[in-house]
Amino acid sequence: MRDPDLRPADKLSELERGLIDAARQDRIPSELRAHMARALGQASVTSQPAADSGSAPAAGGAPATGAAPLFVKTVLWGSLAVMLGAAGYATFWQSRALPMSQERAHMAARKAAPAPADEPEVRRVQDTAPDIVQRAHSLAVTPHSAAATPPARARAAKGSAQPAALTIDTLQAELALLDRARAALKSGEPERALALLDRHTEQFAQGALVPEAEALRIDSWLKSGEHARAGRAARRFLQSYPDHPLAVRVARAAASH
Amino acid sequence: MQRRNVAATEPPASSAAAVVDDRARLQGMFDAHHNLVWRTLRRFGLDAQAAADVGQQAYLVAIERIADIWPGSERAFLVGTALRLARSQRRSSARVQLEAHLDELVSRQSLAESRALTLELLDRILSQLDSNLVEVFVLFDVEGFSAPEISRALGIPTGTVASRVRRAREEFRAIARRFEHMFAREEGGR
Repeated sequence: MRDPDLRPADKLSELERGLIDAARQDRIPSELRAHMARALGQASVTSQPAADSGSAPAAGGAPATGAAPLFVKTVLWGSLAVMLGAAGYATFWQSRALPMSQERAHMAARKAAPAPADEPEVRRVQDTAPDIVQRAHSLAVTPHSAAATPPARARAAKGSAQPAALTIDTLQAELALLDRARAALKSGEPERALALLDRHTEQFAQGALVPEAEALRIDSWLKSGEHARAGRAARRFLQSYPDHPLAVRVARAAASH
Repeated sequence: MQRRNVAATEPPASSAAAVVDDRARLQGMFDAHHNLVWRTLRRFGLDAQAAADVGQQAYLVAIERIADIWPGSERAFLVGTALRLARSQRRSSARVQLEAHLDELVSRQSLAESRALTLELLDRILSQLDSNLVEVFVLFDVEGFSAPEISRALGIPTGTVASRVRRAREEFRAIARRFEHMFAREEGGR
């Protein structure tokens, strides 16, 4: 029952309504959904609910569309890039914890479980069914990126040669190079960033982070005053990777030049 | 559905049946609430991957405590656990990287055309609110939780929920209005 003094927000502006509706319609991408489902000990959950009961009753018939195509592609790219701190987000790379061991994750989860005192309807942990407990302990809390298929590259989809086997070492080397380029750009040295990005092209022509490199290249050209070149590259980027997480940022460059 | 008490003295046969029930119940909890858990964590400021990681951990907790979760309070348990996990791992969890030049990108038209951009703007606004306010605002005004349900999920008094919702709305509305004024200026300047 709702607090009678606390009513659903009314007289929302068009913008407020749009923001809240967008939030209600937000759906986890399918790849990440499969990752979450591993908590249940399965690689994927086949049944997509017709509607998420977590949706607000006032959602106004928000469609339960599942993952939008944009997100599907985004995850293929984004999970790897995000987990490894790519896309020039070094702060994330530095702050992101290494994949939790199963035991650490489990301990953290236990620690964070709601305290019974806070939740009168939840009993203190007693004897959960043995195989459930066993399962919880035996679950591999795999970071999504470790379990994910290597990102499907746009060029691979277009029929070019498959990239060499993707390994963590390769990714880390590729990422390190991009981090150096990003650092150079951040410190006001776009020419050095461009040189590093050229090196990336030589070493990782089939790399997993080519779009991130291209986005950095566009930023570098903008910083060095080569606006027309950056604008052309931005338009190419949007054609090749329209659903990439960096597309919004790149679109800004394309729009302004 | 009756609340089941899996006590240490319970016969093995009952335990076996309970395991089947638990598995079905967990599956149902996943199907019904995984989007809710994930997007609540997203609005809390985690990036997509980190939200899935923490969401996975919340379900691990649910596995362990399935017998302790009162029927009807599943989503409050899951969301409350997920938010606690997110807070406890705040320093190491990946925070979403918000678009630095969002102001230049958003307009009424661009928001109407792009839900991703709309969510980006929403997250920008929420990032300016205290995290305590974000939680209650998202759960009450976005997800339709009741105040007592939020109280149970977050372990705070109902009165605190109400006061936080009001404060959150005021702040949310104030920031949203700034963007609306910006749109009006831009549209007027054309």
